[in-house]
Amino acid sequence: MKRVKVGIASFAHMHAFSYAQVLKEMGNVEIAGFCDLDEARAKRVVEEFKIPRVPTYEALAAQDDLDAVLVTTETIHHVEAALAAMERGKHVIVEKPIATRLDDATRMIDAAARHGVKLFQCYPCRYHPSAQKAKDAIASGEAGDILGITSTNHGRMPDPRDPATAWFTSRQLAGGGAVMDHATHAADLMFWFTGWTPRHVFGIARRLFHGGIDCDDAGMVLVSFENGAAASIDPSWSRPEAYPTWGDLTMVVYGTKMTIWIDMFNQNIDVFSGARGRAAEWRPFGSDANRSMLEHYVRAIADDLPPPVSGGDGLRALKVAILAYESNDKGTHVAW
Amino acid sequence: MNGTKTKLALMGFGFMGRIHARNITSHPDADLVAAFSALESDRAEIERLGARFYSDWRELIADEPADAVVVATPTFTHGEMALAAFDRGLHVFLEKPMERSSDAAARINAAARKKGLSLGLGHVLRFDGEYVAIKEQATSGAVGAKMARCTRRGPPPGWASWFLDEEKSGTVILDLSIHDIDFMCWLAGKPPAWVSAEASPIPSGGKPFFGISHVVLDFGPGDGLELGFAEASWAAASSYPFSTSIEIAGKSGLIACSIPGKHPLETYTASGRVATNAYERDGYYNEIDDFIKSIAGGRPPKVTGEDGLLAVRTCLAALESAKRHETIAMEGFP
Repeated sequence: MKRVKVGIASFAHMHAFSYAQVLKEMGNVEIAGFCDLDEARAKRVVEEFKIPRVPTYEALAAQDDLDAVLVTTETIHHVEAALAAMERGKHVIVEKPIATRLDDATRMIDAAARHGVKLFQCYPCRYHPSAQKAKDAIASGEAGDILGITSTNHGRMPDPRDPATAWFTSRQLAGGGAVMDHATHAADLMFWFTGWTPRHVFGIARRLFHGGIDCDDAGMVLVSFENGAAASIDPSWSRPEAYPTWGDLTMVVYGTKMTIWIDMFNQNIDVFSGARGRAAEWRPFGSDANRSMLEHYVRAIADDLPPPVSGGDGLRALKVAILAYESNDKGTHVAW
Repeated sequence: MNGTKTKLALMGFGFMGRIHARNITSHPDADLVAAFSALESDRAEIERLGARFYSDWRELIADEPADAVVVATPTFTHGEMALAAFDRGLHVFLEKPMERSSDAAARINAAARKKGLSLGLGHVLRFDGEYVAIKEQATSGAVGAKMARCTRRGPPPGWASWFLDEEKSGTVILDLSIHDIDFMCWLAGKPPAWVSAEASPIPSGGKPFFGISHVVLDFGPGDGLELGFAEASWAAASSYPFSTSIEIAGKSGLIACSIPGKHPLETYTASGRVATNAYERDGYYNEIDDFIKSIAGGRPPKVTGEDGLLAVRTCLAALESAKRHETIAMEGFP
């Protein structure tokens, strides 16, 4: 396979660290450099990954032989970092959600088309074996007609005092709170499984659990579809510190021939060490969806194939969250 | 009652009727004196229980010297039977949902009040060990409860056709989700201010029928529960065990319980697995026990007619929301 050179635009999103590790371990990938506007974080990245730092997103993207830029900035800055790369003819792999606003997402999609580059959207849950098997059962018809879906993507609240996670609880930088952070994962899986088009979205986004933040930490999202079916997403940051793991992604898919129950992170061992005041901690093992996703994306770049998860997919999932907030403000269901 | 046993008559001998028959006959302070079933084939089983068999419920109410009736017939028949029973001075226990419409439920409440008779309701979660423990924890301040999430899933009820007829059952929302909706209203200690829902039709062999529902209850700001969610489904595959779950998330923690869940005893044989609970009495026994004590002790049952009416109204608001794709305000909703 052709060698692929990747630059990393910011380590503001903690996934950048796991993505960088995966990229580093891939035989045909070279991390050409990174840009991070935070001095302390940039220092840590240089020490941990031994990769060169460049001062701006533009300088990062300007490197002639660079193939792609991984955009893992705060969500509000996705659009500027992605456009800087695409305008310089570089493919973009962007962390989810694609942007904080629909028009920013559209600008990114348009720029990719205009500059003839690929825009990859990170939705690693699609690459989890549980989701892959569910998708196979649905796509092959084995599950029958799909009637409805119930999903959760719970989490602990990102710690607003920890510099690594504080921006997730800033409405300005993240575009919202729990609904923006978590509803999009489940929404993307739902769309991927069914191909359905929504008709209405209902959303509630509240701050119910935590102080010291300006965004929602609890919510519920309901979606009705053109075919008359319905689905729900619980994106709440409702796992307490004492919870044995960070959260969950669960999904029940009701088919006429099969009921599919996904509990994506329910593969772990119990560790009773008293760590961080927890009675038990669940330590996961097994496959790494981040790795499977990035390997697939790098292969698509090397072999000039279309993005498996595109900017359009990112826009569609973002729209669920944006409309959920709009519904919350209006106090009733809103049209898709 | 002066030490004599409370004489109960059973209306309906289907899935729930048989459960009530078992609990009444095993109750030390109750006698099952009669049972109505539309099916002649139930006669032998009813007579074996020592009860008189009636194929006409009006005859039972007119002729049987009972103290009370336990109504476990299809939802839409509850009002007619309850009113006839109150008219004869009998106390009434009604399976949930109380009735198919708010009007019918309100008429039942008015009749019970007018006659000063006990009206018990089969909102069984309020009597189930798991849910009673959840309620105690949630209201103790242990986690600062703010949001409840409930699920209730199983295959379609295959034992009677009226369940999959909206006119008769009020869809999966009124028949199944009502358990969790009532429970969350009990937790919040007040009616929801707003109700939003979406639902999926499932194959019903007839008219379109909502068999999977997603209901959001917005109780509004306050010290207690603010947000509730209930999913109910009759769309699970036949091998999927009937299961429920509840989670209460709060400012300082999380309470969670799933059924089938933890059991102190499980036995396995060639014919399958049997899980046994630690409690001797389940919610179905406890709710009948509470009703009998309310008659004997002259006190209201734990679940009131107003609770039953609120549950019906909230479910009907959810059904309306799912049809209109609009949030429904409970204030002013019939």
